[in-house]
Amino acid sequence: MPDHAHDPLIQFRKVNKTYDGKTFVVRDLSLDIYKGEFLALLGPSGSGKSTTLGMLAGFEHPSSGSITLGGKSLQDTPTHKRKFGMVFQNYSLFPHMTVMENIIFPLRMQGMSRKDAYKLGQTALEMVDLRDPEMGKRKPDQLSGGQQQRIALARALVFEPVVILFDEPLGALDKRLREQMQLELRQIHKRLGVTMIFVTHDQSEALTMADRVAVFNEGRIQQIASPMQLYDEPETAFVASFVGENNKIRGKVIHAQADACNVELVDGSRGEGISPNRLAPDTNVLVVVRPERVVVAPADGYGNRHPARVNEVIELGDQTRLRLDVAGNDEFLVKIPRTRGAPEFQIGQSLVIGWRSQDCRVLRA
Amino acid sequence: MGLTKRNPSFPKLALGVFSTMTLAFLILPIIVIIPLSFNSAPYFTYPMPGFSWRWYAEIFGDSSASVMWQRGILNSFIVGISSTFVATTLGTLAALGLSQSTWRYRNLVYAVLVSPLVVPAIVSGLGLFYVFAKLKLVGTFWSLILAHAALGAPFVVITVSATLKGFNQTLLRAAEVHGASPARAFYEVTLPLILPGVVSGAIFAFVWSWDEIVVTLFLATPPQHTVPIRMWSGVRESFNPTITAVATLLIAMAIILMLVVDQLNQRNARFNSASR
Repeated sequence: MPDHAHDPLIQFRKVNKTYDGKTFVVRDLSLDIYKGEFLALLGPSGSGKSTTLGMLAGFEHPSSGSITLGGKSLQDTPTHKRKFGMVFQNYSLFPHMTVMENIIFPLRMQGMSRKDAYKLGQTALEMVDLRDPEMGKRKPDQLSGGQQQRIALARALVFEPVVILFDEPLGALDKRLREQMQLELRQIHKRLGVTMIFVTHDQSEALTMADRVAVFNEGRIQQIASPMQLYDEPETAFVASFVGENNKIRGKVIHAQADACNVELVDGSRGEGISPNRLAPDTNVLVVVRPERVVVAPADGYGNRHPARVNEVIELGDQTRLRLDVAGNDEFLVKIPRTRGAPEFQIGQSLVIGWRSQDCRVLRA
Repeated sequence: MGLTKRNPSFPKLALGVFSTMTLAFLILPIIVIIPLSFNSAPYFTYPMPGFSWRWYAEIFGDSSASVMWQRGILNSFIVGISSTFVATTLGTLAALGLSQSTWRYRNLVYAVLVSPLVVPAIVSGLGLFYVFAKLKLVGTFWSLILAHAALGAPFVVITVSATLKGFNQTLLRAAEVHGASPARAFYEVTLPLILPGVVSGAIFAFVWSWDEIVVTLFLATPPQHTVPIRMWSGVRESFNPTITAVATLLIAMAIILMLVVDQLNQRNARFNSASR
């Protein structure tokens, strides 16, 4: 678990990265990373998450701003002296070395004798669940993708680094293997208490594994929060649409008090919700609500009530999905748990739907 | 039915005959030399009267002609090994630099580096003669070594560049992040992986140096004469079958070296497919 009581282990302060002086790959990035936490850097490609990791590893250098590790600037520390472990997307095992030589590579670079290194290498192999005694003698090209990635992981943790960096490490694996590796990585993180920084574009992967998730878009961090907070309390329209499914309706703030606010939707109807950024009246906004937080025929006490028309009904085993026409949005999605004997929905049917104001986010459009 | 099945083997047969003839055309001139080197009579004719090692003895004996051949072989080794060493070192560094460069004129530099392959040898020879004469190097081993290095380097540049095309640059990041300095990463990762290309290039450069005659004629005086020049003068002066024995030795050496190159290429192909 992250140790927020102490000073951050790694600090990015106002870091900018640009290659041509005009477009910024990373913009005004400030980020605290705590010892022992599992932090995911989540974002679409080109959002700056990999560049951020690259700057931490020392492959790239900030155009301005500072990165510190344990309070000391990394500015003049070359990559090989930063002492990070790292796992890459394409495994990047050394093809001319055996599995064991790959794993003990970091130990040899530290000047450890081969004999001592082999012992630690064997332990690392067991840690990543590769117990075949012949495994160490094989060459990487004789192994499956999943095995190669386990070996890459063993190489990254064999020298007990304080921080392990992951650059989309599971992207090349198939879905089943990916999910299994996600759980194993989580377990290894718990067991070793090592700080893990994990770049991914897969939001479910980030939510499954991380203690905290930093969502990147266009070179900026949109929000840093725990997975559940990110899901329940998105602070920008980008986070709301990138993490999980969300319904969005255009509108305008008409009244605001602290973070509660009233909005007028495009069709002139009214509603209320939470405005985390405390937007002023007249701001153009998106009113955002999760499909599973919407109810049909709401009881009293729901701050939002709207007439709706059914466009499509999809029955799944555990839920019914309705696609509705609500306040000018004809892609409005509702998920209702399926119960036996419940009334069936018809296409074209008129409904009244509603959601609570605390489930409704009002975000800058 | 009969029409479609009539001659299924005819194109195959034609291809076989044509290929065999082409190969024969390429290889026969080389093959005929070999038996002649074991001829007991001093003629370049078939049928041979008997088998003999005498022309090999002529090379390795202690007559004045033998000493000339031995001197030539020694010179060829001096020039071949030294120039190959220089060409391999510089060619490898050039290929590495070019592969990492994003400079807009890098292709131009590449073209200049490999240009000796297309510039006629007589032009190179004349140019080098002119430059080395100014430097007072004509008639020294230095001029031969430098000239052969410059003209052999393109082979190294080409083979190493080809190996680097399949080289996964992330491997260097993996090495550096796990504690290898850039120099250490080069020795631990880059060099072993590009070694097949380096050695192939070195072998090509070496074999080329052994074969070179035009540039060498411009630059060498008799004390530096290499094997091809001895053979050339040998053919002009007298019809001595010793030359067939020398040729056979050269062929044997070339075949062995090419087999090594072939092995290296297979090794390289395996690593490249594995590192992607």
